[in-house]
Amino acid sequence: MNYAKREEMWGYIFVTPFLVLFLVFVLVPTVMSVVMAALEWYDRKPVWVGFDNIDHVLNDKRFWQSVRNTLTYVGMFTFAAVALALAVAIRITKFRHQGMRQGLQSAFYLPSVVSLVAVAVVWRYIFNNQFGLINYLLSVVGIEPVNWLGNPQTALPSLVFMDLVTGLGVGIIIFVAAVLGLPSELFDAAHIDGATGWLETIYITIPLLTPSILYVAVTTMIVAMQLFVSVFFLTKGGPVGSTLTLAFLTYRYAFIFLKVGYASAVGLALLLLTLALAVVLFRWFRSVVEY
Amino acid sequence: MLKQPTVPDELVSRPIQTEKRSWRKVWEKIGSNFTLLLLLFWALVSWFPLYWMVLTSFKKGQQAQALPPGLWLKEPTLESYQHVLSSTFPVLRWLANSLFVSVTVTVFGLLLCAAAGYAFARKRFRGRDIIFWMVLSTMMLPGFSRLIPAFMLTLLLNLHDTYWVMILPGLASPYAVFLIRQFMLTLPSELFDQARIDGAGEIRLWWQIALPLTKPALAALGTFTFVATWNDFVWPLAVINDLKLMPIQVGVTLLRGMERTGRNDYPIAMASGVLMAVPPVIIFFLFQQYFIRGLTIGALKG
Repeated sequence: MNYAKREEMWGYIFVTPFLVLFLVFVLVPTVMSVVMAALEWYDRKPVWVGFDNIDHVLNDKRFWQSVRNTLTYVGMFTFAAVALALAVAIRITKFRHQGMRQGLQSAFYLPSVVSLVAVAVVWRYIFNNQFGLINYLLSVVGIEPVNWLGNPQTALPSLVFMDLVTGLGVGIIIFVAAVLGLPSELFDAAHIDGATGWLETIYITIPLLTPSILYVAVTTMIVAMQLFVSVFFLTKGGPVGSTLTLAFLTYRYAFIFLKVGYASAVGLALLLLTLALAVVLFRWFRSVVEY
Repeated sequence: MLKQPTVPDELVSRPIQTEKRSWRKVWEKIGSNFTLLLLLFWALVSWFPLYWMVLTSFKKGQQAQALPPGLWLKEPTLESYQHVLSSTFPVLRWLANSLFVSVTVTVFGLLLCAAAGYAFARKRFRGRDIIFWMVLSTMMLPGFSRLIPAFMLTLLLNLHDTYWVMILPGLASPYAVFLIRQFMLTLPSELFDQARIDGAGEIRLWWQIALPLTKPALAALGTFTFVATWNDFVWPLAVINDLKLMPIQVGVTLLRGMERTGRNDYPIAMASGVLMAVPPVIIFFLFQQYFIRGLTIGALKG
């Protein structure tokens, strides 16, 4: 056996164990998620129903409500998360002491290590309308208590806020590293031209960070599209469907109402919508920055 | 001694201070103080829920509803922890399940992905680039859309209510393969050539040269995988119904105070929260510098 053949053989040997599991648990389910939208299941046996499920979904008011809620959540969360993480990260890079910077990065990351299940229950307590902390603080200032999770107007924004509090860690770490990795000559040149502080941040740092901002925006968006745990624990989709999300709808149809075909069609919508948003973000960023 | 010549006042060059510039200075001051305040405020806000969770878990049921809420610990009690650990549910078993699944997925997942990453970075074989591209492109898809297909697939394979169903799907991580490949691409070829001349076999090249040099990436991914597996909720919720096999995240939903919380249940719910938050926090503290580096490699090289 010659060298190239041997190398090829070892390549396959190293890649095969991963590839088998990747095929079974990632690739096949991905392909199935498209096919299954056209199937209905009776006693573990699939029956082809064509566009029936998709038809049902497209004519369901709750589906469109979930699309609206999901997009609202994703829009608010992604924008706020990127903006806040960027502001905090740039401020962190202003500290001269390296240990200080690393300590702050860790400090901001730690809350996102704690499981969402644990976090969700704390927040139900904090949001409680009788003895919750937020309403207590408001009452000190003289504002009437708000039923944060029980009011259709405030429920979704409350979830956005709660997820923002724990969800900034990754973005901050990536932005800090990105800023520190920028070539310092650019900043020296800018200083000579008289750009400092705000101007430097707005005209030099942020444009140069566009690739990192795009990366954080896309990954944040993908996670936000799958909003499930906080809905599951705090609102169950209510009140009056104001926090119904695509992921929660998928789960509810599949595992509570046992309508797997319908749920698959919703899942497919989630997949396509995420891809569409990713394309939009890529396009938008490309048009903002001329490389 | 020579007298220093005094320079007449008008010859001293002063920094030119136009109206505009001084205003800019003021704005900069405000701006940098504003972002500093934002940073401090956000640090406070993001740590507070955790503090509140730990604090409440040591309170008595009634105290948790006190107004104004007690921000410090008075008369700490372990009642809630006793309640959780002595409940009729096998809470310790759930913690052990989570630990077993997370450690297994971390160790075997890393080995598997390190092997694949090595092949993609260091070997030439037909179809390599197409396969790698396929692996990469799945990173952009929401995992949630695979939930039902994977559920049906594992149901048909009779894997539900086994440890296998919690372990196997977590092993093949496209993200891990990508990260390890990026890292291994940067290793100098001479190292491998030299070892080959010295008679090292293929397995030894991987195990004794490639892997040790990839340690930072592996440590980062290991921490990442452990935390993600420990915190995974939806998948085990869907596929595990057997009380004895549940991981803590799912089991805990059955405890008093989790899914719906009665008035006096908050300290108990918080104690359950603390119990399931401790292992990932410990792992994070042990490996934090790797963790931060690992996240960064993926983002900046991608």
